[in-house]
Amino acid sequence: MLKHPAFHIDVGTCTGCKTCMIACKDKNDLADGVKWRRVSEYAGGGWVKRTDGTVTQDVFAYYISVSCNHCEDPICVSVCPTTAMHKDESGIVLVDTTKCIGCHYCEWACPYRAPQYNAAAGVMSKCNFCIDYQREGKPPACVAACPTRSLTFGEYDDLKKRFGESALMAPLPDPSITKPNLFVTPGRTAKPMGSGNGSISNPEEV
Amino acid sequence: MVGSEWPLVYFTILVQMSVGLLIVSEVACLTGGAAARDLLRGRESFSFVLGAVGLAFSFGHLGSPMHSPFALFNLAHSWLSREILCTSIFLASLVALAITRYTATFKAFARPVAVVAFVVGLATVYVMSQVYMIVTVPAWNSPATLLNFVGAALLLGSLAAGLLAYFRWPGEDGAETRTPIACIMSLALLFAGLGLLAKFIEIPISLFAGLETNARGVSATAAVLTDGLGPYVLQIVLLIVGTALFVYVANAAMRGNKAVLSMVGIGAFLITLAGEVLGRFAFFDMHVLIGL
Amino acid sequence: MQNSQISQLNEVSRRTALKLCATLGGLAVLGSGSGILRAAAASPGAGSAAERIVTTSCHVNCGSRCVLRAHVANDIITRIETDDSGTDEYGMHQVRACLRGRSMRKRVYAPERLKYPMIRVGKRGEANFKRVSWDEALDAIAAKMKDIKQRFGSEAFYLNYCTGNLGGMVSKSWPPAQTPVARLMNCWGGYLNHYGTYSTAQISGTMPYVYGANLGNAISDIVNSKLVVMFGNNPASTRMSGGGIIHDLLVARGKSGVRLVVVDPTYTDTAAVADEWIPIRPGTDAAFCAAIAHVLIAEGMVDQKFLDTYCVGFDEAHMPAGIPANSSYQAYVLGQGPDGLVKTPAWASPICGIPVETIVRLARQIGQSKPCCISQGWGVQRHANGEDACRAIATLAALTGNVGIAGGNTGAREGAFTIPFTLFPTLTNPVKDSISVFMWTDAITRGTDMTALRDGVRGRDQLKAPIKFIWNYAGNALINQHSDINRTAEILRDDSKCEMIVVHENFMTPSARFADILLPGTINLEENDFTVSEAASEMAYAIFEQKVIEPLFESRDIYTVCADVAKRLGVGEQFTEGRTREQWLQYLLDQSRPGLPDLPATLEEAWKLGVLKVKNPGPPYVAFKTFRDDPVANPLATPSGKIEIFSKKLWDIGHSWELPAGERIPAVPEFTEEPEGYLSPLRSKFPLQLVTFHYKQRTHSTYGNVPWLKEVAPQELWINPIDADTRSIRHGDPVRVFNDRGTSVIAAKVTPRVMPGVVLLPEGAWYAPDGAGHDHAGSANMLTSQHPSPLTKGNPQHSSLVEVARA
Repeated sequence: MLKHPAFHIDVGTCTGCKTCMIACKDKNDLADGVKWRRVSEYAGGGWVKRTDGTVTQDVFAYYISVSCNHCEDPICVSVCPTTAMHKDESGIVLVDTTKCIGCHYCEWACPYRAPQYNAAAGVMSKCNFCIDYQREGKPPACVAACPTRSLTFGEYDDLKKRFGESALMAPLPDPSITKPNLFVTPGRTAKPMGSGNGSISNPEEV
Repeated sequence: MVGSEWPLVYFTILVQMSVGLLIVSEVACLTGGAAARDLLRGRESFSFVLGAVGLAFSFGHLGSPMHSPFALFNLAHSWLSREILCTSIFLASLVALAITRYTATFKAFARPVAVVAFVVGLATVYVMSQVYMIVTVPAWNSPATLLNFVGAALLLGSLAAGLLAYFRWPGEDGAETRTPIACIMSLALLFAGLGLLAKFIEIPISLFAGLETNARGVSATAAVLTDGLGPYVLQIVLLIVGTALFVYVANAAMRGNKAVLSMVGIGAFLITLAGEVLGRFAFFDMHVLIGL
Repeated sequence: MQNSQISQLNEVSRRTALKLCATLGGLAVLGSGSGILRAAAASPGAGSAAERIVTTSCHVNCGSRCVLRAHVANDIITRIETDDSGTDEYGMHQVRACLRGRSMRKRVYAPERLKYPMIRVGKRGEANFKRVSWDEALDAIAAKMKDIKQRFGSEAFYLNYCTGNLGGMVSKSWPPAQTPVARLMNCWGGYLNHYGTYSTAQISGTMPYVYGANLGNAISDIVNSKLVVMFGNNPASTRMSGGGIIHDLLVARGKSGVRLVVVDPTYTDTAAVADEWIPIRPGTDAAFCAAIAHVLIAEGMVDQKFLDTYCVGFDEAHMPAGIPANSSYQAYVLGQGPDGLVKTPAWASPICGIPVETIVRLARQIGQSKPCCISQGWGVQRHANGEDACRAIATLAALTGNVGIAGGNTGAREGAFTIPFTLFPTLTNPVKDSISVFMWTDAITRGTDMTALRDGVRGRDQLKAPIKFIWNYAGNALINQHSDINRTAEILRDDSKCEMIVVHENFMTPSARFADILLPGTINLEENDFTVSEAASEMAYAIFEQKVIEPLFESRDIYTVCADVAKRLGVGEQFTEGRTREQWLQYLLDQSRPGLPDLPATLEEAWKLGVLKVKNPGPPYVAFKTFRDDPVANPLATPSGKIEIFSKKLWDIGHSWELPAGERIPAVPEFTEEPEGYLSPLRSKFPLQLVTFHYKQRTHSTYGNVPWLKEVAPQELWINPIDADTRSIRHGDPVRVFNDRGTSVIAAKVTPRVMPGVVLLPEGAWYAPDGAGHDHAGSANMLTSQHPSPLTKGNPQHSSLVEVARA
């Protein structure tokens, strides 16, 4: 098991194919509407129709795939009244479903939308970093699934060495809030964090 | 108006009303003496019933209510844990207060228990507001939330206290009950006024706090003022109309006149409550997360 | 990371008891939704004694072919993983399935799986069926076949274009001539052929006039390029396999950092990872290319030496004999041709919507980048004027001398590295008649009227018989994928025209609803088969797919069905040659081994091996390299042996064929206007150009019934905010998209990722009409036209004009 696990996403090569979302749904038998990994489409820019019949534009779009960042200072853990949401010794934030009361407080608080309510079971659920796969020495389902190899996982320090500091990129929230264990390599069109230039244009999919 | 958080709407309003009723009626009793206490007899039980029903509503919000005992496990970090503890202690103290006051055995403990109930009641409203001070929910994360809850507690608590006394009050009967009713009503008017003032201050503050547009292009304020504009305006209208009706009833009582139909009093209460409910639905509709 | 190890599967006999178990297990699964699946997944952990992992694949028309590893416990598939072998080092990398293959469980166990054979009662298209036994169904098929053959001959039998089950050696639904159905018909007199595909009709039929063949460099070759320009090519959506083109593309770009420019009406998912997006109006690529050519010519950036040596038709000095002056491409571009229009950037700009400065800049970048990879996907050609447009792009590659060299390209779509594998033999079709893939509805209504000169009939001057009998095995082009759904439905409903439609399907698709005899088919996970890789640049592979579970309910595979029909037609022995399906697989293995010595000796070993990968031993594939190296010794398969920018053959065709008024087949790649294009007068009524693109929720219409996929990628109409605003449409609003052919109602995605004036409706959503005949699934072919393109008589499914309004 890793000591300080983290994810890395290369936004520059991610084509938004959503294979990671489906691989996760299949592996965890998720019900309709529950998405432990979510690919958000961030798009913006506008068009100008010129009088000469041409158009100009500054359109951009990119995708960011996030499941749970198993944060160092997870807001879901601090707000959870039952301690069902907890960070275990391997750094993975897990839901103890024997304690969870399904109050949605974690869902209210997480700026990455990681906690997902499982209506059938009446408890919260979320990415568990494929803790069972990790114990077998296998990568998480999403990482193993990605056709463009845009997802990586590993020890936080190793990823930092490989990829450098994480980019502060829209639409991600300020990492100082929860200290996510997530490294982001931006693409060519990346917009700075907090930029009002674009918006998440696929809310119906996440 | 989404409407899906109705258990929490009724939970928060009823518990706040419960606290407000206790606070206002206890202060009225302190200033109004035995006659006031007589008019406000059973306030502990009314307060308890309101709070207990509210707490029962909160279970409707839970996916696994059978796990509820675990909800006290994170007092160290979770305001929700603390809220449940506070509410529980408050309700327990109301039971204790009723017992100590109305049975002979524990009369000596009545005063300390009353202090506990008073303080824990105030703490409950404060802790409740802190539950919503989530740094990732800008529309909630402002002083407006505490003002909102305090305002609701005072406004609804005052009306409840005033009406409780009003219905006990026999009317143009004698000088003995007029002064207590006048005392109770004037205090109720004062606290109701404070509560309404708190609402008038918190509404613009919360709308300002909710202006921020998140990455999904959603602004809590924009959402509530476009799709939810009708109910939002209606909320304010109802609060004003309800309070005004109560002022009318209170004034009539202070002039010793119980000719005013009690339906007006009930109407004042229900209208104000309806306004508060609309406002609370709007509050929950303003949950907009930053980030993804 | 653990290697793929497939535990030896004990021989599973087909005893009734086992089948019953599987059926009950399947019923339990289907009855309780995801509950049983969760329980099954929860009990045996990965690798536990009760569970086995079987290598299989996904057999859809995605142009790729991925490895799936099915976890099975108690004869129920509990999980789908993908290739996890080795270290994923490029060249021996993992063939990772896309989101569609990963949802395979939901397809196999979909509640609407067809369970038993059915025969139509009531009118065709109403989906009113009664259950029958297999014997009854097969008897009915054989009886009708004998009847039709006796009355109309073998030419009346048609194998419809069906691409729902690709890859398998035995169970294969396309090319039609390689299917078990073809083998059946070829044992018994043959059938009416078709040429072309809905994917490539125009380009596959046109490129041979330019190059003698439709070939392109491998995408991995772009490590050698200085610039890559893609016209209407979107591998991020059309080649999604992690062992296929999108991975090859990103790896190559990662190595060299070469600049990638995407020319497309849409900011596609490929544009999202590219360096520049140039939006272009649909159907105007030939104008754009002519303007680029003008800049190249005017600024002396054409490779004159290359043109003189390797091409005909660019300039007047290199034209075939007997052609009037000023018919060359240069004359066309410079305005010296019959139209007298100079194809300057200023001329092209208002047509294609691209600013003059952008045209000039790109032209200079193309001319100055040596070498430059100019390529196209299949979006440009799938237009009414696609034949000319796809040639125009190829011409740019020729003008700049980029053909036949590393880092260059022909202008056509990328090529692949493949391994040889002996195909299931389907004998020879005695019938030589062939129609365009797209004109089968005409062949039903007026078959004997169709001629070579007017309707593109091949093999005969005029069709001998109309289509009376359709085999539709694993396809949804009977209705749904064919243009103009309303018109097709009307044609199909008349069962006096086409008298029998046999459909072999997994689900009640829109096409299945029009069956006369509907047979429940197995999905490939319920069959033993082999498959080989398709579009991949540097690594090819064979996947040995052992049967994962027994066929659900009464479903049967196509080989068994055809063998049973053959028996009833008296050609049973001829069809099977005494072999079972598995014996055929062993036969193919043995036949292929000389070309692939590493192939396993037996089926058992094949199942154990799972996947055989072969790395490309040489450099990335360069199309027409030998021609470039020595054009005299290695001429192209064109009349001149050279690249024909001007094609005498097309000149002759254009002057001899009977074309509708206003249609032309020019000999050089002129910009020709589409009947429903940007310049069409019809835009005053239907101002928006509709493009029906390929979308990740499905592979065409396959997987169109999987709720998980609809959740993560719902069907939507993409519309620009400017167009949405004028129609008071907000993101998520239901809208009507309509023209004179039909109406579809679907949610809108308001996005700047599509040009103003263009709307996108992903093709493949399952047609779902209401009482008024309006579709509610966003099925794109409600809007498309059945009018074929001039040369290849192909499908113009990106050439439709529509209007959109709030529903």
